[in-house]
Amino acid sequence: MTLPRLFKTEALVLRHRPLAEADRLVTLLTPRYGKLEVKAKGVRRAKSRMGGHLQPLTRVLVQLAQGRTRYVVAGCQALEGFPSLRADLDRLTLALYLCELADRLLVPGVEAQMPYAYLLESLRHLEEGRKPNLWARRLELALLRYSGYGPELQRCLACGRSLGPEGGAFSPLAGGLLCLPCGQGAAPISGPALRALSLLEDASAAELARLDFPPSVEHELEAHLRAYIVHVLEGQANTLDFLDKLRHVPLISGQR
Amino acid sequence: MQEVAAGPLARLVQELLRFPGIGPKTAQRLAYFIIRDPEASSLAEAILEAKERIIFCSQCQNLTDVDPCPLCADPRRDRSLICVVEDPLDVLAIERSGRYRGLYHVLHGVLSPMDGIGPEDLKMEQLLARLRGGSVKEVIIATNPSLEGEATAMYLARLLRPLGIRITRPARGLPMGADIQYADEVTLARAIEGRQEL
Repeated sequence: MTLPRLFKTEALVLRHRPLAEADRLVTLLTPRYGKLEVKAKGVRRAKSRMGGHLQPLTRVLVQLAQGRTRYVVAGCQALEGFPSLRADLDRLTLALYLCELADRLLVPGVEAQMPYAYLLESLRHLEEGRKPNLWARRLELALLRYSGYGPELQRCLACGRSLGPEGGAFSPLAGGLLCLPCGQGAAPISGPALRALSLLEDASAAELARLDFPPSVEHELEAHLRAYIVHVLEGQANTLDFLDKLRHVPLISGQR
Repeated sequence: MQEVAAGPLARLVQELLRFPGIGPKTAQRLAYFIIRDPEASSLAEAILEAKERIIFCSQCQNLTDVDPCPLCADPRRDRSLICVVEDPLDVLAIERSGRYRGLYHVLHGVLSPMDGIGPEDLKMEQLLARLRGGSVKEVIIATNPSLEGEATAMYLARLLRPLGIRITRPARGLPMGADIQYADEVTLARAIEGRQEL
């Protein structure tokens, strides 16, 4: 995609890393131009006018100008800062995981209207603390589907049989579902979890807001999708290691 | 350039390239300056001496050549107060303010879940060991007001709360000389929340 020399766009700040004395490389997700890595000059200085606007997990309106090697942020205004999300370490880490996933699954410079809308919607639900895990699973599925790695969720990948309430098996290596006879040795998936996966993919945001899965199904979905994403990314997302620490590792001996 | 430069010069450029913020052009300029500079050997000696003698202070984990460091050894410092910072340079910045009389603890980084930097990569265990002594009444978590700094502060607060120590964070607001119209909404909201009577 050829980008204009100077343009303005809405974007979500996915991540940033330090560059030189006081600059940052900022990864943006824009609806029209997809994922862009741009340079933000001087934003690490205390008096920078743009530094506070270009923090990860911020929806911004940016003006980008073509630089020598990459686009440079010429102007920026924060539109949405998700303040409540930033004040809760667990939800913040989950939101960072979603940004990392978008960053790793999406190809730079390819239009990303759908992932942008899904990520923004998920962040807004995380901000309000409504079913954060459910929205995370929905975004995982959407990003996988959009990037061409979507798992097969209807039929057995080996024999083509439709799978129903009896459940089956889920194999990241095969690319999704297998029926029970074909999926010997693969991780079993229950009927309710199968149904939940289909609902997560097909339900509108309004329908999803009304859905509620039992914790056992939520755990099952998380485990299967995590294994699938590890297979696709050829490794676990960095943020998940930290999320696991927050959930399972006692911070001080005896404390959980 | 590296191909036409003499072997040792090319090696010097390569070594300088490893420094943060140094690109190929700057590395070349510095390398040629070092070659021409008659005092360059004292720079080499200073680097070697610093590498040999600088250690982590066993208490605050700051960089020092004596253990404990002068700040930790100073009897006039308030030992009931510890200010946790990301970087040794933050200690210098806070000392320049002249308003803080407590001790420090340097984490040597911040949590960055996306980059895979977790608690075990920072000097958090050493902080816990210091606090278990029981003489500290307050910990000021002065990590940067960035997303990573905030995440580190929240993690530390969760880690330290069971110890029953007062945990505080420096006030956030507008820096001197800033324009309100250019402030981001998070900074502005915190500045309004933390307003003080004149």
